[in-house]
Amino acid sequence: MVCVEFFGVPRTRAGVGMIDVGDVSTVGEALDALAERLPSLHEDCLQPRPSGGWELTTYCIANLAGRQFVRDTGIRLEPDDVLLIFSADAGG
Amino acid sequence: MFGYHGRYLRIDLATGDYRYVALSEKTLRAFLGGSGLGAYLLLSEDQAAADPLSPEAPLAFVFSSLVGSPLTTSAKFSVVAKGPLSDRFNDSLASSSFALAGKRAGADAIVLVGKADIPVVVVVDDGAVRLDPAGPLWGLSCQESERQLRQAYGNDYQCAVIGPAGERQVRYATISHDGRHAGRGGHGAVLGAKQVKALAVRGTQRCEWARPAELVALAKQLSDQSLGPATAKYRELGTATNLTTFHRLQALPTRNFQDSQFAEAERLSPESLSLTRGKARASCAACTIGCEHIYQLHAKEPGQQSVGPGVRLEYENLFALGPLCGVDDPQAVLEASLLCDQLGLDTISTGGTLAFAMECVERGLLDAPWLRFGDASALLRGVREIGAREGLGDALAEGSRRLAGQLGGRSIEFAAQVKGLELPGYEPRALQTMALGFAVGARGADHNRSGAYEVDFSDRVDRRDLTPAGAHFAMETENQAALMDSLILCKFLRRIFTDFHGEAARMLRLVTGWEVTDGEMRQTARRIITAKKLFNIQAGWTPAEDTLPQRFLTEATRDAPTTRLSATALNKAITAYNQARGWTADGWLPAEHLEDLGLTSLQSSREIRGR
Repeated sequence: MVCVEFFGVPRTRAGVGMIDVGDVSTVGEALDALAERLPSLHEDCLQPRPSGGWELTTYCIANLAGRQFVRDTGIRLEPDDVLLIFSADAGG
Repeated sequence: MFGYHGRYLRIDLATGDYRYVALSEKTLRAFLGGSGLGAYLLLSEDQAAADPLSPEAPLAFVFSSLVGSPLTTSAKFSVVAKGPLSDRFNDSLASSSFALAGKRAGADAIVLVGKADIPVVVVVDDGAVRLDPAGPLWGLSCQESERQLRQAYGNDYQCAVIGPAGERQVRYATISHDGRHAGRGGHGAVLGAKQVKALAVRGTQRCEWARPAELVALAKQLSDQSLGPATAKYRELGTATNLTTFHRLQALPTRNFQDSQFAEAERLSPESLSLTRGKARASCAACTIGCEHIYQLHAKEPGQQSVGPGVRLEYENLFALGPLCGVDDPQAVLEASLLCDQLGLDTISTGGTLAFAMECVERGLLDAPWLRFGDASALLRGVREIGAREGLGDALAEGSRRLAGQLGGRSIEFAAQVKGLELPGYEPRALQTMALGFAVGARGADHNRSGAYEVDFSDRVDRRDLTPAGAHFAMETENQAALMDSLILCKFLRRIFTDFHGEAARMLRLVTGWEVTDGEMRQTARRIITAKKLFNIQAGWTPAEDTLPQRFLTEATRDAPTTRLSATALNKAITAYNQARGWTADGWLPAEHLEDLGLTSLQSSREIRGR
């Protein structure tokens, strides 16, 4: 079961801090599941991919369990992975 | 000339004499304004070797061609001087209507030299200058000083002031206007040393724009973009939302950089604070983003609307006065922030110095048993003592590097500063491109002059594995920051640009009429960065100071034992950075490089030049 945690604007748009997206095997599948279950993420956080499915907008960035920032939707996920979604801008 | 007055105002505080000095179009085009023009002015004054708190050391308030234009976020000014914390080049910026009034007073910059005999208010009234006795203003808080100045001089004056911390020459005192601070590096102390309580400005002298209709159209487009998703984080949550993000990524400096996570981060988050406190949003002058989030000091009781004064809360004051000192009490963090605002203290250096002192107490290097991590009352007492330079506060007011010098015992190894400037809230071992940016920064460890953390927050690098390839990214973000600080524009706009250099060139073309290209903008950025370095060399810079404290190069944080940054990796990246800049491998400036950038004439007769 892959879990997605939200921070910043994505958390505001999602309306929840985290959500399980089931047994998905790639970042793209996780984002597709989010797009279906949380339409409030559309536009600001998620946008349709030209080739089908969903991807992050440039305003957001994903990170695999705190280890690695990812934007490529083809990156594979392990069953218990945690995908973190942040505002892309870390300016403070 | 469009966009500029073509002159700066130079005021001698010892005599009250003033004169206007011409600024050629060539000079203005080469340095733009803000921090860039400030670097030029400091080099021209040729006092890089002077003690920053001595009468000889100049301090400049600098505007730019974009100030007063309809471009969003352009109401900014830069204060430039030799920094009393770092003894190196220091620029700090603030956004407020002071910039608009200051430019309308009739000059592109106001340079203060000398020292007044008594505490004064420097009044620049539409081109004429006088020094009024500060009288009972001396000793008042920033806010109360401004209020009384408005009452005395009228609302058409805008007044940049120092608080009690600046008067007492706390080395990280700020200059404040309308609740905003030119905050880092201690310019408030420089004004305090000159016995200047405030600079009051007003005027009627406007600069024409070269292509006003097109400029207004561009400004509208930029404003519309600034209301979109690229700035939503700042508008909706403010920078304080970084706290939980950085905590999750183990990049949140905690207990003087001993840890990278703070278990109570959620309690201090803006999302949690909003549940218990009233909150208002505000904008700087001429800004459409509206990033300021002002929280009520006290939590509200059921049925109450709001309680107590409002406190501007940013990530940096939240991290520095909260996790960095181990304090998890939101009330105390807000109160400490408010105290810093009133006293005129840089929150990052205040929190950084207190956190360093707390660790020194833990290690038995400092006899102040009351000063403990996590103790909210100690935090508040510490801030008050610093502002008053009372008790331990007198030593803390010198900043962590000088305090380490007093304490010895290898404490300098865990004093989290570069060139004397305390680190902001970006853990360098977890954000290693940023670590490079900290190490090479002209004003020391800083997140506003190097935006290298942007690269760490991307899939372009492994943020925990610095390689020489990071040098290019660090340089590019530094170049962009230098341009934004010289044009001047707020960095929170940066994600709305798809071609920053091209769009910046267009703004400049419309305001000034110069046929500026993106290529020229890139060269201008290189010139400005190199001019700052040239000043530092004249002030005594050596390659040894472009580094990080030993803690970051020899230890991991306690909660992330595998996240390490080696001295070897950092040194290789620094060498790559220097070479990418066209400097020598260890960071000196080749004569042909200075010539290429048009900086040869700014070399000092007293310059210390190493090879």
